[in-house]
Amino acid sequence: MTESPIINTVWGFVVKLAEDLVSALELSGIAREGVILLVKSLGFLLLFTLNLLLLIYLERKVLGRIHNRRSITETGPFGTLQLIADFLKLMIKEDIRPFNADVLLNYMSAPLFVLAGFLALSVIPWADGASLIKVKYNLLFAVAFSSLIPGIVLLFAFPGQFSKYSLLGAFREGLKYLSEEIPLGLCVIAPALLARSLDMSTIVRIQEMIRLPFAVILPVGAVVHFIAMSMATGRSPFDISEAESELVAGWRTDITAMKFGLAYMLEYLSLFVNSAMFTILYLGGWAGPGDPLICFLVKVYVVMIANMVVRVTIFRPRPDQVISISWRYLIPLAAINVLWATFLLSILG
Amino acid sequence: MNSLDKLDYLTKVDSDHLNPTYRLEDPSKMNELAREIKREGWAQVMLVTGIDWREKLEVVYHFNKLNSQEILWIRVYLDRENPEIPSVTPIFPSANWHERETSDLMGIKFLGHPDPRPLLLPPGWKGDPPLRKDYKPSPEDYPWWKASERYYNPYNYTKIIKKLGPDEFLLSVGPMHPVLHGMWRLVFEVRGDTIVEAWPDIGWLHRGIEWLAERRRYDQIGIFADRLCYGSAMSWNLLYHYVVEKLLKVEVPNKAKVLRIVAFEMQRIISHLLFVAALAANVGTFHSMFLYPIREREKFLDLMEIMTGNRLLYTYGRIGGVAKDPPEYFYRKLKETLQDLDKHLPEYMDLTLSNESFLLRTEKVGILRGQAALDVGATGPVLRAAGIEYDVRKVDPYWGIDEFDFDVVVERDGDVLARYVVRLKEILESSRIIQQALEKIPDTPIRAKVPTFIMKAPAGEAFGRVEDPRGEAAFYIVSDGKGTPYRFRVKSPTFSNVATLHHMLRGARYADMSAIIESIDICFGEVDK
Repeated sequence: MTESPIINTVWGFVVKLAEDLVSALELSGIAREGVILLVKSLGFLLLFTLNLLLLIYLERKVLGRIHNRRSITETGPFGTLQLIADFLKLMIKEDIRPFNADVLLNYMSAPLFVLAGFLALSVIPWADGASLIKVKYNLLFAVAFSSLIPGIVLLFAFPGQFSKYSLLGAFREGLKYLSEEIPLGLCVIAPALLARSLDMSTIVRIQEMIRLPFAVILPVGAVVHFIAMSMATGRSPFDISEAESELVAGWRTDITAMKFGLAYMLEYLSLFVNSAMFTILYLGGWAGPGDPLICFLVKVYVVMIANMVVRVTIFRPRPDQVISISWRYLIPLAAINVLWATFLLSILG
Repeated sequence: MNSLDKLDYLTKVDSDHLNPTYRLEDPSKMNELAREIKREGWAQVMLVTGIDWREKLEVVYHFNKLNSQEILWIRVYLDRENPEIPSVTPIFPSANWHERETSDLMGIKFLGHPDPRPLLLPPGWKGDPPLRKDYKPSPEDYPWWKASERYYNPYNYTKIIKKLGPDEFLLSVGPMHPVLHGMWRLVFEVRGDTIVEAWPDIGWLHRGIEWLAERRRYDQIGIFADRLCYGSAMSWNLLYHYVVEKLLKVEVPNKAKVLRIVAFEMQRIISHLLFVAALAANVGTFHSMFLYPIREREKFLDLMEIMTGNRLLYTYGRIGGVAKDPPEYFYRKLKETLQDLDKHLPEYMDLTLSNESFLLRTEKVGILRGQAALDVGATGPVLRAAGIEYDVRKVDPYWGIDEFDFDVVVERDGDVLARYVVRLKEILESSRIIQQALEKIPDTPIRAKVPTFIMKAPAGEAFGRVEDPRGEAAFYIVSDGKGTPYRFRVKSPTFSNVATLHHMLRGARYADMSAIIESIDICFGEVDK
């Protein structure tokens, strides 16, 4: 079992802070556990937001490089403060609600998206066993919550915004949901079968043990998972539910101000969660030389940069073409992948 | 021509231009005549113009023909109190929007028109037709505060058209929408994801360029011509001077002619590069392909800045020549830039035409081809992509452009991909023309001796057309011998092409809407005028 010095230092600080606070307040029982969890969660959120800022900055720079332009340069050194400025702008923007929109759903939808994303994130192990929440079947938990997001979109987009464009965007989100979740689910099954476990740490440990990432053993699954993952993040080229040039902004046409900021954050959150799961299932997670956390993050960032490159080289297919890509190619291939995994399991015992 | 000469209800009119001109005495014979004209092989109604002669109205029809320099003029006098004439739209569908526009602005009734709704004027217009000479504007003309509900609500808009089916609904796209490139609206009748009918709704950007030009001196109108289209200001400006020189009978020096051709073709390159970029951005938010052509376009804008002093609205033409003689280093830089362009264009072709995801979105999408395209009035690259070889540069050459060696690009499929390929290849043809022009720039003055202020023009008429980047563009100027045009009429290519959208979008997927709209290269300033 490998320990990560970085996690020990940083996370140890957060845990110590929580315990100091609890002892200073002289709490006990459930209140004590609750406060500790609250402080831990806040610390985790803060650390992850830093990571997210890095991701957004990196994406803008990478896209700029491929587009043959300079991207952000003006605010702060190398444009690093641009994201803070964007965030502040979204904070102070006027909140506009469409006439006839349901007030509660309008306000609740964006925070719920982000909550579901964070719940999926909270069980992802950053190093062996190092996740915010310990759940026994954490793979199942992560898949469940990361696929909850489109469902929330479907339910909340129209009544919360009362706009035809949002409705069409939500319909398309539903179409995309059907075409992405089935191959994604099948691709998650195969490594779990091989590792005989629904625990992500165990899956990584098995890959560490056999000294091979599952991407080598299950190449079809890795490719299908990567494509289905691009669909699941809802970014171009598979951004049919947003489709700037057809539906203005899809299901978030009439979401404004900080609510929009949260919906925007969701995109990156979803990208990170999906890339992290891909890394764990197929690229051997934190296994590798050096600090496990660094190793894990490097792999995740490589996956995300690959996703960005796909994003800028492929045109957006039509919704019906997305469905046909999924049902004609991805689902059969994913099924073949599961059969292959079963076959391997039966001969290797 | 002979069979038109034989008709007893038609009289031949002598005119100073070389085109066949006829006067129809009895307006009710118009239908019969249109059938005869169709049999003669005239292709499209180019333009329908109403002229208010104060005691009576006149309608002038211009017909064009493939492979012929001639334009057929049909002139009809109408009673001013009760102006009625049978519509030619059932026979020439290309007249559809032209007649609706004339009906709006001149108050002429076209009997038997299949779609007689107002085009440019809002429904609920109470005033006189605005282009009549006795029109006095008043706030009561259009009480928008009463009429707005009727106009803005798509349900009310299409009630005039037809009843909806049980599983259909209406979607109003615009007037503010990222794909529309200007203020206009499309009302879609949608069944699921499929477009049943599409109704373009224009008139939101009408600035009254024709009305304004009829109140300006001839040397002041060039600036308005620039403002017709932000995407190709140069072509409109030079076209205006081409027509006004016909009216004033000014001979342009040779150097000015060559410079005009250079500037015109540079404008075509700039406009087509913008199209290539915008198509990529609209078909799937593909910003890589958006930014590469913009980089090339930027170099040409720099060249335009050296040549004219401006980057968007150039106002380069002057009556009798051009404004400035470009410095020596301009030619050197232009040559380098063209070589760069010839190197980069194959890269764009690689990036799109061998990209499966691009072909998925553009092949067999928005098909309009062959005779159908010609009939509904498509023009320019849209018509050439439909498999019909028609280029004003070959048919009716101006400034000696027929001396240059270039090809007319024709594609046969008539889909979005074909329109894209036509424009890409036309960039290369324009580059060829400029390279030839740079070899032989004559050493003459750049401007004929013409007074700066044109206080008076001889009575008469002038009609001139050029191949604008978007198609066949023309001006029709009627002068009564005073200092301002008596009637100023714009023939806009995008206007004709937007009318064809109704046919292209029928049966398409909603998601293909952005690609199809973009493929006709919209510039809304010139549609609404």
